[in-house]
Parts: sequence; structure tokens; C-alpha cells
Amino acid sequence: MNDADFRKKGRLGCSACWTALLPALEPLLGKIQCGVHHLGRSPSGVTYSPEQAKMRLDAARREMVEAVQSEDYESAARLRDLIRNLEGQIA
Amino acid sequence: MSVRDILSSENELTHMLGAQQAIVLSTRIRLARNLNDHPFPGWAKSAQRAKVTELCLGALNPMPKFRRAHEVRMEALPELERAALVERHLVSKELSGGKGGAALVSRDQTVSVMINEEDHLRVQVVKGGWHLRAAWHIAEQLDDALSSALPLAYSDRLGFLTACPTNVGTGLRASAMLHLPGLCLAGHMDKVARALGQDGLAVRGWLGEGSDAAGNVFQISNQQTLGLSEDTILRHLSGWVRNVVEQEENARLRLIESEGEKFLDRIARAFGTLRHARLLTSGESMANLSLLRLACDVGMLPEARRATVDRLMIEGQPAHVQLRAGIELDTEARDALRAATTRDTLADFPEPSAPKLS
Repeated sequence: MNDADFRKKGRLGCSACWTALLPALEPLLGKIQCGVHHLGRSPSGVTYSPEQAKMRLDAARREMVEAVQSEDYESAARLRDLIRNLEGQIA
Repeated sequence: MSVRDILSSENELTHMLGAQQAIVLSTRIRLARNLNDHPFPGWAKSAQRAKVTELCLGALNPMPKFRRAHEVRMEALPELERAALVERHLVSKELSGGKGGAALVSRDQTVSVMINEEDHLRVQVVKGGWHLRAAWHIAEQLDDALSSALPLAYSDRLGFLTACPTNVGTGLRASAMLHLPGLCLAGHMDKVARALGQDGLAVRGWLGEGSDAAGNVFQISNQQTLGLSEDTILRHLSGWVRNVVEQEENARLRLIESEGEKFLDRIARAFGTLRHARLLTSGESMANLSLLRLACDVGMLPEARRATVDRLMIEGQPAHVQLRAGIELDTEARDALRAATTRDTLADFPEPSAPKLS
């Protein structure tokens, strides 16, 4: 599918369309989303590239501060483990 | 297993089996997932959709969560049964009207998976009351099981790939269904909705996207799914739900204090209408039941009666009324049957008394 097909339905055709249309979609993502990089969970068994791991580590550290500030200790504990894990991967 | 079995079996939402909160009716987690190398449903041919359905059901059916689950194929169902599943929030309008849609609903109805909706898989976890973390843990476990069983569409950079750019990344929509009669009566709901909107949360009506806020029930959910972790999304929603619940409690207190006898009159009139009306439209029924629910919350009616009021709200919806009758009914016959059921159900309710403020 091409950009015009996407604009017609507002829906992508398959996972490969994301790769093909990403340059055209990036401005839209920038507007409607909080960024253009995924910071959430991944399918089991997927490992991060060093660049991804670094980005996630930065985000996790920021979140850890927020979690502690809002006294969300359950998240803080999880984030602490995630930070250790990511630091291990980067090292 | 028929749709009628799903609708008649007791579950957390219709029979208040779980711990309940007065203001938060339910908590919901939704994850959008797709299979790699298969066209997304909106662009797929019917044979491709059928293949996806079999693949997904083949992966889901053996999971412990779906032991003795209800499996429904949308196209095989009469229109009324499809509409009733939408009214129960077990499937979406889009799935019920689309081609090749199927759903698997867990025995206890806390988990349902829609297949071939906008995305190949829409996993939903619903808990009665406010239980965001508990719902999230169930969704997380299911997501792990899914990604072990099926090749999911995922990219390192963009996360889970979805048909619509509004869902890409985490694919997570976390929401709470809130009953906010205090804020509505005080005329503050528009202001609250604006504040939520400005902070990245969507406010919708009882049946989700495009529906009105019948019965003063609103759904609050995150809008953004990319560039945020699930933890951040959940914490953000949590903070706002706490805030809105507090505003609602304050609005109720102010109303009771400032309106005095007028407040009791409002509730008594709602009770009178529901107890005696011969014709009740769905809108009128929802509006009055909302006030009765509020009466249960503030001690004007016994709190234990709230579950009955909630059940009337659910069972008074158009498709539910017609399914109960066993035939399609025109609007007037529907309104008459709704009124009769409501009168019978409320027959042994005590008269509302003055509010008890705690």
C-alpha cells in the first residue's frame, strides 16, 4: 500500500506497511503520540539493540524519579529491577 | 454455548461479585496486537481473515484462562445477540458489524479477546470497581502467553504494530468507567472533561467511542500509546481517576448541603418515575437510575441495593430488553417492557430517606 491508500482508510495494511510508510507517518506520530520511540514491553524473547537499551535506561531512570515522587513504590521496585537489568545489558 | 448463557451467567460487573467502589464502576485494560506477515483486518480478504481467526483461536483456546470459554463467531449470531454483547462491552460495535469477527470470552467474563476487529487481536481485561494493577497483571500474563504462541507484529523502534497509528507502541488503552452524577448535576463535567483532554486523556460515554454519557457514566482512558511505558500510562490514569473521584465526592457533598430538601425531592421524583411509569425510554431510565444509584451511595437507600440498580442499567438497554422478550420489539413495546421490569424490580425497595453524610 502507499501513502494515498493509508489516507483513504486511515488504517495501515500490514506490518511491512509501517516500514514503508514510516517517513510519511512520522509527522503524524509526532503530533498524536508522546514520541516516536517505543518504551513499553516487548514480546517475550526479544532483546534490545544497544541503542534501544540506552534509550529505555534513560526513560526508566526518569520514571523511577516520578514513581518515587508519587509514592508508587510497587512501580519503583519494578523499575529498580529493570534499571539493573538494562545496565547489565549495556555493560 | 450461546450468547444467552453469557448474558445470564453471573459475573463481576452484573452481579457485583467483586469488591466494589461507589464511583468507579469498572476498570479495563485493552491491548491491540497483530500477527506478523498477515494483512491487517481492514485490508484482508475474507479467506485471510478466516485464517487469522483459526490461528488465533488455536493459540488462545489451550490457555488456562480460556478453559471452558465462550467462543462466538459474529456472523453466525442474530443481530440482537450481537447488539447485546456490545451493550455488555464484551465486544465492540466495530467487531459486531464487521466481517469475519470472532471473540473468545473467558468463563468468568473478566477476559475477552476480539479477533479481526480493527487489529487481529484485541485483548480486554475488565474488573469490577477500581483494580487497575490487578487488571494489568492479567493482561501482561496473557500478552506473554500470546507472544510465545504467535508471531506478533513488533518493531524495535515502534513497538507493537497496529492498524491505526493511534494505537501503535504499547497498544495499551487503560480505562476506568466512572459514575459522576455529582459533577454533572453541578454543571462541572465539561470543565473536568476539558482538563482531562488537555492532559492526554479521553472522556467518552457509557458505550465508548461516539456514545453519549447516558446515566452520567463516563469512560476515561489514555490517548497516547507510543513514547510512554505501560507503567507511565497506568500511573497517569491512576492519578487522574483519584482526582476525579475526589472531585465527585466533593460535588456530592456540596449538592447535599446546598440543595437540602431539593436534593431529596430530585431522588424521590426519580424513584417515583421508575416505580410507576408505564413507558420508560432507555435515556429516561438511565437518567433516573443514575440518581437512584447516587441515593444508594449517600445512604438515602440501603447500599446493598446498588447492585440491583446497576443490573437494571445493564438490562434496560434496548437489545437486552428484546432478548428478554424473545422477539424484536418496536420502541413503544420496548419502553413498556422496560417500565414493567423496572416496576417489578423496585417493588420491594424502601422509600428514599434523607442523606446520611459521613
